[in-house]
Amino acid sequence: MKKFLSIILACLMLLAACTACSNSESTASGSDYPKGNINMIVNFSAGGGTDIAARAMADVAAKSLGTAISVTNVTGGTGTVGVAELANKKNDGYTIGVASLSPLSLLPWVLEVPYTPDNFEYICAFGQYGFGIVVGGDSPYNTLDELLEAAKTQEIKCGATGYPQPFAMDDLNEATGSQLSFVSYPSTTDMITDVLGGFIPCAVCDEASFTTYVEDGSMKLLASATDVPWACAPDVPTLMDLGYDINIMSYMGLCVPAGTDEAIVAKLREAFELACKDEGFIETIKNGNLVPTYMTGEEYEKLVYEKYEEYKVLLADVNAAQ
Amino acid sequence: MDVFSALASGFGEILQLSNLIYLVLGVVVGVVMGAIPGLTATMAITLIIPLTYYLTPTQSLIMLLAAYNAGNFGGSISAILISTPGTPAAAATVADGYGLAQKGQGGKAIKTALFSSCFGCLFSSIVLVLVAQPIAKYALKFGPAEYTVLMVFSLTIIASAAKKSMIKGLIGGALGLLFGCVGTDSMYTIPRLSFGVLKLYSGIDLVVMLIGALAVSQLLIQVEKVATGWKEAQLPPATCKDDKRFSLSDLKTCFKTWLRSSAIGCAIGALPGLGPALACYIGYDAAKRGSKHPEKFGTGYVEGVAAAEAANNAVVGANMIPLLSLGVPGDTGAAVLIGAFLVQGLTPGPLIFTESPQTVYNVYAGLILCNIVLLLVVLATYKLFVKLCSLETTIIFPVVAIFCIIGVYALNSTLADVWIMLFFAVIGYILMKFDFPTTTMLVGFILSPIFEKNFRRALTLSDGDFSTFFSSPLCWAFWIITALSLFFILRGKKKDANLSDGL
Repeated sequence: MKKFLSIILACLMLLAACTACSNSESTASGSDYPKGNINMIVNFSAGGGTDIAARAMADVAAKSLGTAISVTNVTGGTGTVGVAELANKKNDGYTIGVASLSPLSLLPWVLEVPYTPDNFEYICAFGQYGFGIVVGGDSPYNTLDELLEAAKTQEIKCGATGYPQPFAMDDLNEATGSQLSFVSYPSTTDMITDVLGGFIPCAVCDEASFTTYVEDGSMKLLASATDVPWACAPDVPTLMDLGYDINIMSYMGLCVPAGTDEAIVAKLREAFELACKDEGFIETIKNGNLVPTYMTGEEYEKLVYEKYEEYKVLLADVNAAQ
Repeated sequence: MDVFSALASGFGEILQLSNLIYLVLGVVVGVVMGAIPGLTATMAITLIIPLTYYLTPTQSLIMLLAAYNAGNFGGSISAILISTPGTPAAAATVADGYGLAQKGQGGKAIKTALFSSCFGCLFSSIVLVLVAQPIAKYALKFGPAEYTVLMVFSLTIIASAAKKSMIKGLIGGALGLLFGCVGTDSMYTIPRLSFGVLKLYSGIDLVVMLIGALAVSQLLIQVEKVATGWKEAQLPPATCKDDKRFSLSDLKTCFKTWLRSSAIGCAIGALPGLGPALACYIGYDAAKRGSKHPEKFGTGYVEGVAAAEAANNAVVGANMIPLLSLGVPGDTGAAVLIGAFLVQGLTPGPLIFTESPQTVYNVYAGLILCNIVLLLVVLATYKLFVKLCSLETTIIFPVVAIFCIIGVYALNSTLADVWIMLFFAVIGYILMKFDFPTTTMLVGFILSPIFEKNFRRALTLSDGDFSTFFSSPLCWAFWIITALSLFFILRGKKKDANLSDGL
């Protein structure tokens, strides 16, 4: 009996071990790549918008690469922990990872992270997060002009879950003399309930999480803060349409650790370009209220460095103000 | 559409073999993962989600909900048998559950936990079906100020959980509040107490802290005992039939507690951001104060197990209230569930009731049925768990140690969590050795971030005006409950003091 029970315990332990780790190690050069499974690190949790998009893309790319791509979610630090993990991995092409624009070019100026944009080779960008300015459904403001007009005489509080969204408020204040003041929210959930409950009059929010409230009328979208209108409200103008030169950008991109063999990078770029143009993938990403945007590795790399320098200046001001 | 006919067709759908299989699978995975320390209900969902990409919405959602509910129960199995909460939700079950098991009444404790869990989840499911929309609307009235006062009230749990020494209890609570401050500041994104370690920027995970402070520290104590020559079976065998049964008199003791705990669990679940770990402590605390035998709590008393378990499983159903009506998750488990909806092309929120009403009713039906499946599965298998724990401690505890390490590692696939766990193991060991109640530290830790973020936001929104905490009837109601609670705690302590003077 005792033996039998011990065996059961041993089996359970094995089972637990299996759930804990699934890593394959192999070495290869460019010509016979890929020989084994590829591991993809996603820097946000399973089931989130980024994760759904990344997995859908991995499914397609795996077919054209002729291997399996397994996904590990390494979360935390608003996306920096997963990116740091990727930077520390072997540059053999068997670990790829989602590295979004914000952890690459913005957060290094906010948090101490053990990487810079130099630590990566860039495969592609595969999607864009949308942003917009919303007010509660029973708010007196129906257009952005009305909101800004009111904000000229009194301070109006405006929520956001973190940078770069507050830059939109700063730019608007500068352009119109309005007084939108930034209230920082630790999570999107808190911001949703506060806008719905009328505790904060307005918010700069992301499209993926707020689309449903704009659709059912419990919130009003005043303007899109990126260069494209929201899919659910194509008639609502972008800030650029309204004459403000403001465009909050945040992309989801794919990277490998720096120093990965050029031939491998080329192969990955080719495979993921195909994946990004796959109809099934585009459908999935649209379902998640994200904006499908393909950008080549070179383009994404250029954007990351550009923004890295830009945010360095902008955030130096913010840090000084604090 | 008529609620009941829709629900009936939901039942019809779930009972089809192709759906039922996934429901059962969800329950089994949930119980096993829940019972393994470190692997939580939330993790069970996270692990299952990638598989659900290939299922229908109904199959996917009922499997996940079943795993979520079963996982919340599963945590109590290890809490009872090896004094190690499998999930944070079972933290309050340890004291009485393990107490019962040490008296040879492990079977009774597991059955109590099982029936209480199923009752709690059924209760909240019925509330969900009948009045989800009005409750969700009401929950929106809770702004940062109301949450803050609710947290002030919750802090009184620390005082009532402090056993002999109020000072030690409060020190424990303060330690917990302090550990809760580790991580990135919620308003200014400035890292605090992180010592430059990237991992600590996102704070300390509740699971990691809990496993360290409750489970691994317990292991250290066991190691110490074995080193001093103590060697015996983990749990004594049952001495009489009653030790294995959940008897009619137990039902009588527990029924009122079930109702109270379920109502508390429902309220906590309906309010976004609180979660089952808090519900079980509040439920336990309320039961202790309302009980005829408060002195028996913590020594192995069925009512204690019932209070904690009914409360934490009531959260499962109630979590669906804000999730389905507002699209806002009640806790981390529900947050992951949102992902499962998105995978299926469904967006939880007000529109789901018009866009795919049948899916919603299938979810309701699945939630209700999974309790019955859970009941059957556990009744058929619990003896094995109890048998396992009749092995010697020298076999059990190394296995538990491995589980703890694997579970905590698997949480974020990072070794840093394991070190944090070991750190808290040492803290927990020291606290136990000096007779500090670890419970107060855990409660402080759970409350700390919720209190802080709401307190600071309330003040930001009111431009620093403290009158915001007295601005609504809800705030006043919580202030009054807080005052009453403090009054009773102090009176109780005085009584205790008088008693010990008399001795």
